[in-house]
Amino acid sequence: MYSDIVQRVLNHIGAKPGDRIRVVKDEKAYEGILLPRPEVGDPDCVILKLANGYNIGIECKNARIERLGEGAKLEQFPLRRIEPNPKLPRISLLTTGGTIASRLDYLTGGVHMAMTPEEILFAVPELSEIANLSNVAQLFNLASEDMGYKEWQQMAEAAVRELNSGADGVIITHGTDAMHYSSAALSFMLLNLTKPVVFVGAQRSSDRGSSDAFMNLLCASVVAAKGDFAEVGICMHAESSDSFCHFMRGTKVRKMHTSRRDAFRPINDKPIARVYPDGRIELAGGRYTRRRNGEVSASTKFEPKVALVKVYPSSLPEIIDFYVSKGFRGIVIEGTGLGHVPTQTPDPKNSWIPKIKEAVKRDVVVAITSQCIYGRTNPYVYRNLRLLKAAGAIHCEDMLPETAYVKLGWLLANHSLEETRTMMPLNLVGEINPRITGEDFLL
Amino acid sequence: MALDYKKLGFKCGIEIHQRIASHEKLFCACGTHNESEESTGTFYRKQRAVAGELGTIDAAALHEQLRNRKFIYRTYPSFTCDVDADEEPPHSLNQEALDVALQVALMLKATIIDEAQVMRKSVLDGSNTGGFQRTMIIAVDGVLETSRGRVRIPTIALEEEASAIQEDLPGEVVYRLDRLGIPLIEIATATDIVDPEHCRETAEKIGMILRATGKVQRGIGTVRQDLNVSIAGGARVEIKGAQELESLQTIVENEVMRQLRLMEIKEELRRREAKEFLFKYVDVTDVFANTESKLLKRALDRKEAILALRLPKFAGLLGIELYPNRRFGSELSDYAKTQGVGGIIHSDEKISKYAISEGELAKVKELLKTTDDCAWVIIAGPEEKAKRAAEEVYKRAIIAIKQVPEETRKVLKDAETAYMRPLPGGARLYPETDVPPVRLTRARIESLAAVLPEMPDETLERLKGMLNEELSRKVFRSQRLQLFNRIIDEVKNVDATVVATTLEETLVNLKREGVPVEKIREDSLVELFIEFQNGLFVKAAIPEILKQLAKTPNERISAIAERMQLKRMTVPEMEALVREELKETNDKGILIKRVMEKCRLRCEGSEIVKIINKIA
Repeated sequence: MYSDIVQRVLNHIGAKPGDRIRVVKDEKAYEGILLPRPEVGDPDCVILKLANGYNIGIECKNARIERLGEGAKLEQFPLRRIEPNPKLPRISLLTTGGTIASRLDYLTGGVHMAMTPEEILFAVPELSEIANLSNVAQLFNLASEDMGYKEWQQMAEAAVRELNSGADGVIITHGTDAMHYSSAALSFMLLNLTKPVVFVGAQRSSDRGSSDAFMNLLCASVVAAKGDFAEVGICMHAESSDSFCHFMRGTKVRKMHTSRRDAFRPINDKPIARVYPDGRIELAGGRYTRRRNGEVSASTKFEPKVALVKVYPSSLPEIIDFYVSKGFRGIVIEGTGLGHVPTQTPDPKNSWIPKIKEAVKRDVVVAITSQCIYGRTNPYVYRNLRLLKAAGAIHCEDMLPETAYVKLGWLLANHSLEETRTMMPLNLVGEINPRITGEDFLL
Repeated sequence: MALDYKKLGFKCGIEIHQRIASHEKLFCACGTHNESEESTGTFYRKQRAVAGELGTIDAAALHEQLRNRKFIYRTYPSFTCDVDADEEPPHSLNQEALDVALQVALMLKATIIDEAQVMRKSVLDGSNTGGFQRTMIIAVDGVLETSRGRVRIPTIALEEEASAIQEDLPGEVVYRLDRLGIPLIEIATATDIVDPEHCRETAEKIGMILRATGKVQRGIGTVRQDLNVSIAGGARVEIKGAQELESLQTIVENEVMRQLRLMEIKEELRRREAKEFLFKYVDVTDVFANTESKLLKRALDRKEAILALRLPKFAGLLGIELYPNRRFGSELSDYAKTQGVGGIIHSDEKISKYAISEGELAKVKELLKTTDDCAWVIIAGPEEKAKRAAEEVYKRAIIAIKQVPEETRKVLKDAETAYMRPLPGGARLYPETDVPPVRLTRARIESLAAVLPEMPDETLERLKGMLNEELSRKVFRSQRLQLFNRIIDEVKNVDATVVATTLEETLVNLKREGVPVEKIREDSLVELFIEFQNGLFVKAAIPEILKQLAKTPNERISAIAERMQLKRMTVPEMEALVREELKETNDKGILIKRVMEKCRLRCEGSEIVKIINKIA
């Protein structure tokens, strides 16, 4: 936003972003197109786009500004009409926001998370050779860190609608930060899944020519159109090179790097497939169910009062009291190592065991995962683990903490307390890998 | 040949890109020194054209995408990181580099911008992993005084260096990422340059100002000149990558000649009533089934296609020399090569050069239905590439009928240039939103202005005050100018001529003799002159000391002098030597000669003479 002084001058001469203006200061004249002011930087500086294309900022408290006329319209984008090709598989594209679909935003000076589906096709025309984009719909436009379970519900319901009206697969474009939460949620919410539901995002925003968005979207289309998988998964770069993507089980994948293209890694699992932008799919060893015909349904209720809590040296168990007092029905604990919480602490007040026992007595489900992320938790191997189990906590095998959180919220909303306690450590949709090998570590 | 450049409507501007000798890169913490290191990693990417902020994709960008090239990048443990690999957002702007750029702007009397905005300049040849180069204007309206008047400098920018091409293969380019991100100052002149010689002078003067800061990198590849040249009736052509000052003048002269010849070719085509014709090629692979030509046989072995096309009315034009050693046919070949084929064979070449038989040629001409006024072109390569190459040749031929094309050209060796890509339009810059704008305050500018380095002409004046004409010019141009200044500054009353001679002549001679003088550290040279000034040794001993220092660069000067018995002789020692020689001769002349032969490295001739006069 421009400062009041500057904005008043601009209003006075009737100049708005996109207009040509002349700024005269210290006997120098600068001509160019007025641009909006981003949120960062000096609000007294007017931003001008010069004829050579560069933007500069001119401090305008003591300058004279004239409006010269209307300039080019900003932010126009050629659209690409989508021509259906009946011979190709039909896939649906659902957009939710995120950098896979981004434009430059003058208001915030940052990357703006909104772009029409037509703009996606303009950027990746090869998509139309792989599948017929039979339906393209924007569900909402949120950064993934701003999403909640209500967005998961919308995604699940939309996926059901698309699959049951003839789509051979569904792609959901999504911000990367919380994409693995959404993919886990839909893995549980979608019942009798018969076709692929592919989550895809971009680590480097698509307003740059080097973006991973293009190849990711292309590979996601390949999976959705012809992948022999009745699975919810994430499709993203497998390496820094633009070589191929991994299609990874939605409950066993995690964003493991803040910025790299190959940030998403399968955890305690192999990827289901390697997918190439030229259309090839190679099985990579991950388990999967085969594609078939049949109606899909969804059970989308979710209990939001579930917490994900990390233990660490000197952590206070009182946090459990806090959640219980707020009516929380489930707590997933990211323990250390095999699933430990502070147990036989020198000062007994710091042990988490008593609070966990109390919570379980009050019908709160306490589930145990590991902050190691890799490996399987275990309720027996050490005394502390046995004490924890005896307190009523449920160890969640090799489940990701994020996946366990989603699973617990879903179970509590759709099943009774007893069923929830029974089903939490059972392998419902492949979220547990009964056979982990050395090849699955740091993949 | 003296051309009247003014009459030709000659316009020329120059853009100089100079690497800054900062410790770190512009947007990350990697080092910037030009050491060679082995590459330990590699990855590859493809790039796409995206719209700039005004909603259009420009011609150059699209062109690049169509070529569908694979870009392979090599990484280096000390000089590349995830930021360079476009796997991590940029860090904040390197302030050390910014200060150097601001100083240069002040020395060029430019106006510093209040708030600098970092921009992305679309670059799709793969030389930047992000698909763009980060660049920002920091000053405008500078000016350079030259012997031919003022040359205006509309913009001064601070930007990132691109990665260097290691290999350019059909369909693939290999880049080294070690130099990606090194800070560059870009100084762009207006088209106030009046002729090729003036171009060289302008580049030289700007170079001197840059070097006066003492904070720019030196050596091959650390400075690049891009030129833009046009003449009336010709076209604006950008020539990228001229590295040597000496060849600038020739490059510009050649470009003017090239455009003049192309205009003449266009005129000749008009005279021949050449018209735009349709694109058509013929597959002549079978004609060469049993050819003797190694080139074409290889293509056949690789299951490639051999295509031919005819260019009506172009007979004899392909062989026209545009400037020494460059023919019009090479222009067509350049366009073909952009599609990944090795080149073309054309009608103004001797086909015997390729071992193509008359019979084969006759068959090709028959298939093409050529007439006497036609030129023909043969292209061999993978079928898709050969087809696209043929189309590029066709397009270039059509352009030749109408005009001189606007192009970006690259410098080859010997001041020759070749077509690189179409001239990019203006829609290539949009804001770099990952880096906040930089407020350049009055206070900062004033504090930099207070410590501006000495301007080049002031330096030269100062040097002339202590050295003769020749030496002062040598030192002025030298990479060791800063070192010279430092020694004069730190070693009070040292003889400037001795310092200059040692740095500019002795070291050079030693290097020629094979002594590894690059191993000698600057600090050791300062120490050398301190000890010299202390009287530890005489001037004549310096080369010997330097020879030794190159072998043991960590040894102290005093230790070397001691070890090599190069320390200055004491008066008693000199007297003893004189008395010794007196036994052999009384002749003063011979005496001096004999004594000096024995102690040349350890005493001054004047001292010996004094002693001889006293004793003998």
